[in-house]
Amino acid sequence: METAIFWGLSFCAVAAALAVVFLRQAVNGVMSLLALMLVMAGLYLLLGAQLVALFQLIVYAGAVLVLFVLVVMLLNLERKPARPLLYPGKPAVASLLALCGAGFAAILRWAPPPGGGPMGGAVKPAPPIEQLAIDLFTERLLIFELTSVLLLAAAVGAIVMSRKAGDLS
Amino acid sequence: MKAEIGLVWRLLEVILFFAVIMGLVAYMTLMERRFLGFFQVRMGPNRVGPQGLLQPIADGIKLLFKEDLTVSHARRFYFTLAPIISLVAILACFAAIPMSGRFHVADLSLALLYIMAFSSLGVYGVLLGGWSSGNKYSLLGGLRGAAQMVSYEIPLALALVGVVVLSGSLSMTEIVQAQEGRWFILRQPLGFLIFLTAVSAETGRTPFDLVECENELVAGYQTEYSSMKFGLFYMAEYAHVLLASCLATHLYLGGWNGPLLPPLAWFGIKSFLVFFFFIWVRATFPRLRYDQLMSLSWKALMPLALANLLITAALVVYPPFG
Amino acid sequence: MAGLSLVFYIGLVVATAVGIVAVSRFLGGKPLTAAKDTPYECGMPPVEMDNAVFPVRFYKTALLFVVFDVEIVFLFLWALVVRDLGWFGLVEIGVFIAILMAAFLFAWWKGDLRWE
Repeated sequence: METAIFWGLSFCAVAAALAVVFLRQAVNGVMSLLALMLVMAGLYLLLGAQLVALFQLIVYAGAVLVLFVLVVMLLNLERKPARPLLYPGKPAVASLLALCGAGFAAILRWAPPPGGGPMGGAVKPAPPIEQLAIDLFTERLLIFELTSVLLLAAAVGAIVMSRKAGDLS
Repeated sequence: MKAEIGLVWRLLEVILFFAVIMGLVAYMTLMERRFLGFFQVRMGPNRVGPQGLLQPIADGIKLLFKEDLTVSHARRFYFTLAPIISLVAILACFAAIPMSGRFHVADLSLALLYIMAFSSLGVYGVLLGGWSSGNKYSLLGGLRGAAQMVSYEIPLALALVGVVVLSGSLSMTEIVQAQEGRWFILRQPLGFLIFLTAVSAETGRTPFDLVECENELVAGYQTEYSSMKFGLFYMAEYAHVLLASCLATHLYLGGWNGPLLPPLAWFGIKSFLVFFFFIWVRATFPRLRYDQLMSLSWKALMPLALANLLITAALVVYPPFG
Repeated sequence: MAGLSLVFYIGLVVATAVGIVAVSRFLGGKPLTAAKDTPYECGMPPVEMDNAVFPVRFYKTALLFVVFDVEIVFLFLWALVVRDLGWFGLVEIGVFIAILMAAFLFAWWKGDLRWE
């Protein structure tokens, strides 16, 4: 049962990821990315990492991609012609698909036997969230505080860059 | 065999839960219209059935038989998808709301995060609905609505963190149990006010209904919608208000705790009172301007919510009375 | 068990939403006149809006939201264990919030929180 769900979800994930790259219209690409994020959340859930799955939904699906959709709508990208140079031709698509197929075949061939499931043996039960939180706020304290610096840099950078010289707004 | 029977019962219970939620959403529209009528010294809808009790059913049937309009240069796929996203995102949140200690879909240990995750997906309904209609009022309404929803999500979440600091748990059941002696509204009065303000802005109700502000934007992102697609947006709005009432009850008003009456009754009474409060606010306050709305969230509510959170945490770490 | 009823519930919700739209399309029928196909503009003939430009403020607001949303995810985790961390937890979250408030105050100072 779990194996079937896993393969179903991974198939969706690969399909959505390919759609992100190959769909011509920006909106379709962003919405495929959203689908990909939802599927990833499902995969995390299957691994027993409920916290990661919910954070994936809150941060990526609920915030980062809202920003992407907003940009696509603000710029009305869809009416503009797709840039032909960056768009790969048919042979490129075909070879990429072949490569993906080969990768899948390789995984199927060398994947662990069905008894262990695709996750390679029994999944370790996730530690309680409290344990995880304490770990984050004591041993990985430096990384945690550095995250805030990273966020600060991102925010300041965007504010500065989105401003034209002499622009009031 | 025994396990299978238990499973079937469980699923029937989930279906019953869902039916109760849908029934509440339908009859909340009637309650709101009747009460608004009384606030304005008129009767409200009272013709269909005794006291207008069949009105929601009549409305539903009428909407189902309306012509299904899609303007010619709308993006059809997203135009249809948007109301579905709106409704699904809100209704899915109810899985984490127990109506009493036992009547629930699942007792999730991460209930609050689950609700945050799904309710934040609702913004796609507004954005896509506004953008796909191919109408400038819709687009502007959608953008405004999205900016409003994300702006108020931050003070809302910060208020929720205050509750988590007090309860030390993300599970609804444990949060309710933590309030058995003293309701959190007494320990978080400021947090409660921030929660109520932010949540009415999230639901887009008066005084924060800038999303569909008639005199500027016709009907905002819903302008081109008709028939049951409009109906889904309408249901999503009331489901959101219901969710807000249930959350206020569970997080601040002691949930289903109460003397004498059964838990389900207490839950119903408290949620109804919170819902009545929302109607009252709608009948009383005029609409804000958009710049007022945005500065209220960023310049007032967010610093206040952060201060509230830090003070709460300090009081939890160093309790003043022992 | 809990997971199963959750998945079942979400399936029920999705089926209901999609079902309502499908039934309404089937029952509602087609628009009666061609004029109903044009976008609503208070009765005026519609004006194209291909080059409509929207204020970049919407983008900045969404970006600040992303920054604070990530912050809130950490705050939820921290709130769970604030009792166990004691004064140490208060100090580290104070530093964390202070650094992010710098971004917030920078945006405020540059006028990006102002809508007129």
